[in-house]
Amino acid sequence: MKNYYEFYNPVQIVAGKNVIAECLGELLITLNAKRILVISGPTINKLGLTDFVGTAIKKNGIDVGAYYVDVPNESSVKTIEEICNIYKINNCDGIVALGGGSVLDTAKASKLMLSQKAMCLKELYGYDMIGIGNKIPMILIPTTCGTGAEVTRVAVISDENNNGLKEEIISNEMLPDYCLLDPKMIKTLPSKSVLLTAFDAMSHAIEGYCCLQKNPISDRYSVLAIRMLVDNLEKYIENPKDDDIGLKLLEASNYAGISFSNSMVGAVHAIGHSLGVILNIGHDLAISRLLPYVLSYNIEYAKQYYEELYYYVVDNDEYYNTPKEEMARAFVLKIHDLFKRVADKLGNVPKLVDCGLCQQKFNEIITKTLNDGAILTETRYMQKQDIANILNMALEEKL
Amino acid sequence: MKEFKNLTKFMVGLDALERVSYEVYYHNCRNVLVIYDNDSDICGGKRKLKHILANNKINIKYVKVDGEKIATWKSVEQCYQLNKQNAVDCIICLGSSAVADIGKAVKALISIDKNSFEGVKEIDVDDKIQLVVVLISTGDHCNLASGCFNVFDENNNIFYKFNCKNLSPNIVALDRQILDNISEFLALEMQLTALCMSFLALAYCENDNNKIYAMIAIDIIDKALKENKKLNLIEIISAQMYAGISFMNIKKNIVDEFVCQAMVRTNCCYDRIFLNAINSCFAETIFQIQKSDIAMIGNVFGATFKQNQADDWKEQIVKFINDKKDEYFANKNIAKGLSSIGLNEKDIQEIFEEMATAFDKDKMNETIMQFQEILLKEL
Repeated sequence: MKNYYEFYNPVQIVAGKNVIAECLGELLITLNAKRILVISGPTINKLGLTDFVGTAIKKNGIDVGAYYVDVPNESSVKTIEEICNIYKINNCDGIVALGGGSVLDTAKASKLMLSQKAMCLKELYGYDMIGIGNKIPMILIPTTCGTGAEVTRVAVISDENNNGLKEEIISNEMLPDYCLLDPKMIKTLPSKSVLLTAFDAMSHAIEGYCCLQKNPISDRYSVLAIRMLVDNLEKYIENPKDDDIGLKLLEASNYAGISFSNSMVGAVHAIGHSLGVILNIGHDLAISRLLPYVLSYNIEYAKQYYEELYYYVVDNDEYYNTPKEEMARAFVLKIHDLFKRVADKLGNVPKLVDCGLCQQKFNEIITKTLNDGAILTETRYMQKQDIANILNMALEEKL
Repeated sequence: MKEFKNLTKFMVGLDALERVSYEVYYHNCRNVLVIYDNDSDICGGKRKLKHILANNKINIKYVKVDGEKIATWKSVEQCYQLNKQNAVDCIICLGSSAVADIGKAVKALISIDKNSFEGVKEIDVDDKIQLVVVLISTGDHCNLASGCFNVFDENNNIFYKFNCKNLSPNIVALDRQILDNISEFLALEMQLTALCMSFLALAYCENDNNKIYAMIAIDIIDKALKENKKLNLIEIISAQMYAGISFMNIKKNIVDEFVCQAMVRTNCCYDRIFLNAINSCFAETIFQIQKSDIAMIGNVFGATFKQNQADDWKEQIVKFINDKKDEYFANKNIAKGLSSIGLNEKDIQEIFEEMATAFDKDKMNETIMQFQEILLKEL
């Protein structure tokens, strides 16, 4: 056990079929919120999910003060400041947000700005720079199975006043009172979106288990998430409308979020963040394409962890038939093969080379990666050459 | 529908106590009540806390309470009166879990704005008061990170037992440097209690989320044993605390109810009564654990889950626990059997009569009767 660790997850998780219709209003009453600002993004809004949530709120006699349904794919300072103004103008006293990582991060940052009565978001940038503020009731509803943003104490915001530089705000004050996991929220989404984000969750869980800040509580959340993902990812492709399977994926993502929020991530995320910006590709695609290669590259350093995790990715007969010295490698292959099978079934999942990854871009990616906070908690000390080696493996698709 | 929440921030390991001061400043606490016992004085915990909280802006009141195994009403009242004078916004409990119970009881009284628990059924907890527990002593830690607390009013012979939503401590700090040392025997007792509580929670918790902390406790003990090392104090205490979170989430927990009632009647500690009480029914408990949970726990304590055969795994776990129990009860200083603890047939019958009134009679009658029968046979 490590010399010191902290674990904190005060968010009340409410999970089940129809929890939004059945519980959302009642939960807002317990929070004493009477006039709600509902935040979502254009896609979710088009699918009618924002209206569905609005109706569930109103069912219990609570007002919806305003809707903000234009959160862009990347949260921005301007959006957050606009949301805060709308909240104040409409005399709202609580927030309900539904969406993926960007929407939930926007809601968390807005809550913080309102509770701290900050004049501009810049005041809040950084790690735990803020004290206790006014209470703003907030409920978050994820509509993807990847980010775990509903339980993480971090928000990544693009600052258009600073060339779109991504700024991080890290604070427990952003955490919501409740998060609702309802399979209805992912039912209408394309399978591709659900499954790629689920590999982001897989990466959170694995990196949370292997990183330097791991602890016994986050470890258990990680293995629960990994097992649930392995058991349900392929089933989801066959039955995307099955509520039980959808709920399992949402729970897995939530557990993975709890895990890495209390441990950290590592090189997959550090390189993935850089690829996302430089190749202009989605976070989920970058992460799912990179994951097997980083795992393979780290095998010597994370051997014991991979051996432990192997138990959770195979059935127990296969586990006992695998010699111990082969388990770490077998674990990497399992994750690689799982992604390959899912990608093949989905079709149209671009390879990194198709997204523009080439050796000419390595230097830029490496420099950015080495400046990413996630590299600090990677299980092995990574230098330029290590990242170049991983990028080469990903480019050539050689494990 | 599944619900889960744990308010507590766990700060475990080196310099955890020093980090508590950061939390106090962070929460902008102005009036701090420090409740401590004799052990915290002896081990230097109080001195260290005084040093790290030395800040003119904070008004700190220290109150020393008796080192009892159950929180007493006398101590709760003493601390509550001090609160009345100072309007505390932070309670720091330094000592055993009984001190933590005093802190919880004081926070509960402040929340209901009453100076007694008489007639109180539910408590709406005031979340503006920070409750911090810094553990110094070993012993019973099962309800430490839960909303449960027990208080015994000696003068009126009333035993108060509450399980309140939102009353679990905001922070629990385990700092290796100020924890007292324990004998190997006590370490075994705590380890065994943690394991049995975890398995009981796995067998009887209705909600999957409530079982997670039981699995964490099992992981901690199993990993240490697999590495062939003796569990250190932090590992033992944290395992017991995490096991307790799940254990306390068992609905209508008659084992806990029985042990608490027995503690009032005897001079015995929670763990010892608990281990005696479940001695005969433990094997049956293991056989209640579902296969899906076994698959998630995996190969622990030498038990292997092969070809989906849960029964083999269960038998191996029962054997492992029985070996540990034999080792534990082989100690000549340990009371084996409820009569050695000081309970007689009349005591047990009285406890079960009280339990029958505490629980829904119709639904629980059969379970309570079965447990009573087992315990009476033990005598």
